[in-house]
Amino acid sequence: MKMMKKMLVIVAVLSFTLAMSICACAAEITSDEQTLIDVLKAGVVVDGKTVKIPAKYINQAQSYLAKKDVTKEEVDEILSYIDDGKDYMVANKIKDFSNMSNKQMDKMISLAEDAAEVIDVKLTVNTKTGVIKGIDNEGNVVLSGEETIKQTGMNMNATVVVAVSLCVAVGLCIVIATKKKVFEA
Amino acid sequence: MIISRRIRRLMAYIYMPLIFTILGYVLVYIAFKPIINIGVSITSMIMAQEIPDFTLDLESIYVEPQDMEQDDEPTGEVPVKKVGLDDVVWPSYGQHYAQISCERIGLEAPIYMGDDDSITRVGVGQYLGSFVPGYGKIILIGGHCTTFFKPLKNVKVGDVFVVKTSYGVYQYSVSKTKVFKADDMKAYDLEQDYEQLILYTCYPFRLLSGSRQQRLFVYADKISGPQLH
Repeated sequence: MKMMKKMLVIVAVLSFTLAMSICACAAEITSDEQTLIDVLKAGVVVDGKTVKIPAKYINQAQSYLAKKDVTKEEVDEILSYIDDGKDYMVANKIKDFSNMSNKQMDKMISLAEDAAEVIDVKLTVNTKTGVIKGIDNEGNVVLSGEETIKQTGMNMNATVVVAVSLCVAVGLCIVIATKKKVFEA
Repeated sequence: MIISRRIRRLMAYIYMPLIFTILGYVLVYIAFKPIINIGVSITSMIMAQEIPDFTLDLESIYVEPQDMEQDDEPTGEVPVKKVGLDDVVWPSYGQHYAQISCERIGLEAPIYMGDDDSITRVGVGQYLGSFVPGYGKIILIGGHCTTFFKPLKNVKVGDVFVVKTSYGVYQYSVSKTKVFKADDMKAYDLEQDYEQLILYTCYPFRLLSGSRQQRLFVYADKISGPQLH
């Protein structure tokens, strides 16, 4: 599951990086940017099956495009990486990210990092959780592969377990002490 | 031999209490971990010589909207005003960019872009894969059920949430509430093409409630506010 999430993100990033820009220009969606969004939404066709990029990555790309501009030259360079990624997936019949080999995974990660570099975005992957993050050159998080719905309350399970265990331990000590007549003068 | 036995006995008075002390600290930490941050925050407010700043790493781009017309009683008939994207300072991750309130249930909270622990400790966090008010798409915001979103336990259909941004004031009317599992993707649709404010928090609201796998979702439809174009 974690591997699948990781690879879905890589494909998303390859496409998502089309939407990024190093130029903090007027916030609007240009026709080039709209084309990029459409490419993201179209996904990748492998052996007749369309592998879609999760909507959360497309939305993040769209939000980023709303505040950043992308130049044609950057688009063309990133598109080449996107095409490489698509060709690789088609050639290797990658329809399920969870079944990718380590070699395939490394290749996809490499393409994603190269694409991100075009727009000065650094990709980091948490090897434990498989969550990918994209950080721009100002240190802002511009891409996050974390779960959509977060933990928003205190989990007192550990507290309850420890409290109950301590109570049981104290109770046992009292029982044992009573049997051994420790409290008697 | 006798000396060695004495030394061993003496050492027992040192390492045994030490072991139990460490074990005790570990157990206390595990037991009180959920509320340690709250406890430290409260303690520092009492003991500190100056007001602690918990938002050192979080910026604010929020400016109280001036001269913004807001209906006291929303009728849904307010003409649609448009704001250009050029006029909007798009929030980056970790930035406070809006305020949300609901007078009837006493909810008032700052909205930050992003939703990690450092954000939800000082406000409510907007999911990075959702959009800002006025964009015409989903706005997904999460907050703690013990702090900022605690009033949601009293929310009813028809309640109005007001979201103030630097570029406009928005009103959303609650259309329904529902409880879903945290990983149930039927709770929201990131691809929807209409504007809807979705607030979520852990459910149930009582302190001891197991593993908290459920979330209360509050769905509110836009009734007024400028449209971004």
